Amino acid sequence: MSTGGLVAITSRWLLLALVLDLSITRLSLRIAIFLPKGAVVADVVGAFARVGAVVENVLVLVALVALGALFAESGGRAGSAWKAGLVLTAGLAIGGLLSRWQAPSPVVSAALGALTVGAALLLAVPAVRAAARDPYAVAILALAGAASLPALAALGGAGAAASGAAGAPGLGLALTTVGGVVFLIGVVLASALGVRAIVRPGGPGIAAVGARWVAAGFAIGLALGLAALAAPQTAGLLLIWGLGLPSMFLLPLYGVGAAIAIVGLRGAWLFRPRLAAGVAVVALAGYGLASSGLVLAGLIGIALAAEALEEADASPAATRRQAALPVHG
Amino acid sequence: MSVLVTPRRVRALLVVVVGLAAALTLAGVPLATAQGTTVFVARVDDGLPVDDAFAAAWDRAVATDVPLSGQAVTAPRLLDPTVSSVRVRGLTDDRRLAILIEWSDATEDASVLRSDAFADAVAMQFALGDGISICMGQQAGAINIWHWKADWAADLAAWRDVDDANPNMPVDLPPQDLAQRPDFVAGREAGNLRSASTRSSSVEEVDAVGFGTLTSQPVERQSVHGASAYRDGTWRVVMSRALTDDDPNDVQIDTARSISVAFAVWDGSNGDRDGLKSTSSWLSLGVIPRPIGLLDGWPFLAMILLALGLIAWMLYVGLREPAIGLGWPPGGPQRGPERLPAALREAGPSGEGPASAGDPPPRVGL
Repeated sequence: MSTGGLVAITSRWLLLALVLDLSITRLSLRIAIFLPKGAVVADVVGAFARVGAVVENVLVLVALVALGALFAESGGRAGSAWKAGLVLTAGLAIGGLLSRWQAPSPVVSAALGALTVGAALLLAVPAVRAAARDPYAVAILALAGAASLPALAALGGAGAAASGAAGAPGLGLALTTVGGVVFLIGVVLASALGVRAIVRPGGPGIAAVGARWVAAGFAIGLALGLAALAAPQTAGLLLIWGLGLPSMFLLPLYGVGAAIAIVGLRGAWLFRPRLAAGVAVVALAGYGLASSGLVLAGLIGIALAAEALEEADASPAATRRQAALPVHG
Repeated sequence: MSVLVTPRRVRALLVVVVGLAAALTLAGVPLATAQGTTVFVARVDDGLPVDDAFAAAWDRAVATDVPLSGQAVTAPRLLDPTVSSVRVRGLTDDRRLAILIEWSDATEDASVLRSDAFADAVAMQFALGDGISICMGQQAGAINIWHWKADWAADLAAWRDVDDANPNMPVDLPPQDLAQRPDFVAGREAGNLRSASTRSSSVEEVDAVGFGTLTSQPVERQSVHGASAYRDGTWRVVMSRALTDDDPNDVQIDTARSISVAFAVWDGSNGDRDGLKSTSSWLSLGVIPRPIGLLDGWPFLAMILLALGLIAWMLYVGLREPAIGLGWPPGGPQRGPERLPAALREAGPSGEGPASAGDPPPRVGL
C-alpha cells in the first residue's frame, strides 16, 4: 500500500468521523434539547456530549492526516494551483488551531476568511479546466463557490472592521444565502450524475448500488420527509443545526434530496470513488457551519473531488503536465 | 517519496488518532474552534452614544447583519419569523459596552395596556460560560439576558396605566384594600417589575437556566441602561452596561476574549410575546483590539505565514527531491507493481516480501 492507499483510507475515516459528528453532536444532542430531562436522560445526554467532543477532536486529527496524505500524493497529479490550494488549506488548519489562543480580532477573521476563499478557489482550478468535458466539474465548482461565499462574507465584515469602515450592510447576509442555494445545487447535481451513471442505458442498473445503500437512502429520505411533514419547525431547526441549510425549499424535498444523495453518491463511488468521496465529505461537513474542523473537512472534500477530475483528464495539457514531472531515481 | 503504508501502520495510526483525540478531550483541549459570525465592538474615546440611537458615532461601528428564524423549539412556537434579520453594532469606551440593534418594523407597538395588545421588544442573551444551550441555557449553564421593551420605554417618556386605556373600567378589589390602599396592585406588592409604578430603565435584566426558568434580577441589581427611537419603520435600540460588575449573574465582559451572544425580536402587532419570537443562533461578540489596524494580531499572522512558507517549501522540495520529499514517480501513484520503486516491489503488497502471482492486488480503494 502507498500514500495513494493512505488517502483512500483517511478519506474513509473522514467520512466516518463526519457521519459520527453529524449523528451525535449535530443531530442527537440537538434533538435532546427538545426532550424533558430527568436524571437518567441528563446523564445519557452528558455521556453523548463527551463522546461528541472526542469525535470532534478525531475529526480534526483525521482531517489533518488526510491533508498530509494528499500532500504526500500531490507530486504526480494535479497542477500547481491545486497544490497552492492545499498549502492554503494547511495554513487554514494551522490558523484554526492557533485561533484558540488568539483574542477575537478583525485581522484574524480576515486572515482565516482569505485563506478559506483562496483555498476553495485554488482547489477548484482543476474543475474549471474540466468544466467543458466533465459534468461533475460543474458540481465541484458549485461546492467550491459555496465554501467561499460565507468566508467572503466574513472576510468583508472583518476587513471593514479592520479598516474602520462601516461595511456594506446586507451584503454578508446575501452572500451567505446565495451560498446555501449553490451548495444544494452542487450536492444534488453530483448525486444526480451518480444516479444517471448507474441507470443510463447500458449502465449497471440500480442493483449495482447494493440493496443496503438503496434501503438506507430510502429509509433516511422517508424519515426526513415524514419528520418534515409531522414537525416542520423542528425539522427545519435540525436542518440548520445539522447541515447549515436554511429551509428555503419545501422541507420534504430535503428528504428526497437526501435519498438521491445517498444512492447517487454511492453510484458515483462505483465509477469514480475519489470524486464521490470528496463530494460526500463536503455534503456531510455541511454549509457555512462555524466549526473549524468542518470547514477543514469541507475543503479536503473539494480537494479530493477536484483532484479526481484531474486524474481523469487525458487532455494534451494534462499529458504535458505529467511529462514535465521530474524523472525519479 | 512513496510512503509505505502497511495495514499494521494504518491500525497504529488509527489508534494514535483516537487516543490523542480522547486525551485532548480529557485535558479540555478542543481542536476545533468556532469561526462564526462575529459582532465586532469598536472603541471610541469621545463618549458613548448610550442615549442616542441615531448618533453619528454609531457609523464608526461595523454593522453585522444577523439572520433570525422562528422560535420553534418549545411552545408557544412561531412558525415563521416576523423579523428576518437585525443589524447589530457595538461600541465601548473601555468602561461601558453599548450595543445598537436595528430592525424593520412597519408598526410601532408600545402599549400592553389592553389584554390583546403586545409590545415590540428585543433581547440579547449572553452565555455565562462555554457549551451553553442557546435555548435559554441549561442547568449549570446559565444565560444573562438584556430585554428591552417598547412599553417600558414609553413608560419612561410618559407613565400610563390600565385606566388610561380603559378609563371607565370597574375596579374589583376587596373593600378593605380600596379603603386602606387605593393604589394596591398585587403584582407590585409581589415585586414584579412589570407592575412597578416607576421605571429606571427600558431594559429588564433577567437570567435563565432552561425553558420556564426566566427570572428577573432584583430591582437593585438591574444595571442595563436603554435608549430607543422609532423612525420611518425602523426601530433602533441601544442597550449599555458597565463592562464588569460584582454580580455573579451578570455577564462580565473581558475585552480580550469573545463572548457568545444571541438576539431575539418580538413584533407586538403580530401578537409576538413570550416564546413567539424571532431568534438568532449564537454569535461571537468581540472588542476590536487597540489599535485598529492591519498589524493587529501580528503574532497570529506571522505564525500563519511561517507555516504557509514551510509547507510550500516542503512541497517544492518534495517535487524536486523525491528521495527525501513527497513526490510521486512519473505516471502518478501506484498503477501496478511495475510502476512502483524497486524497494516497494521487493516489499510486496503486504510489505513483508516480494510480490508473487498468488498475492492479492494492492487495495487502492479511492
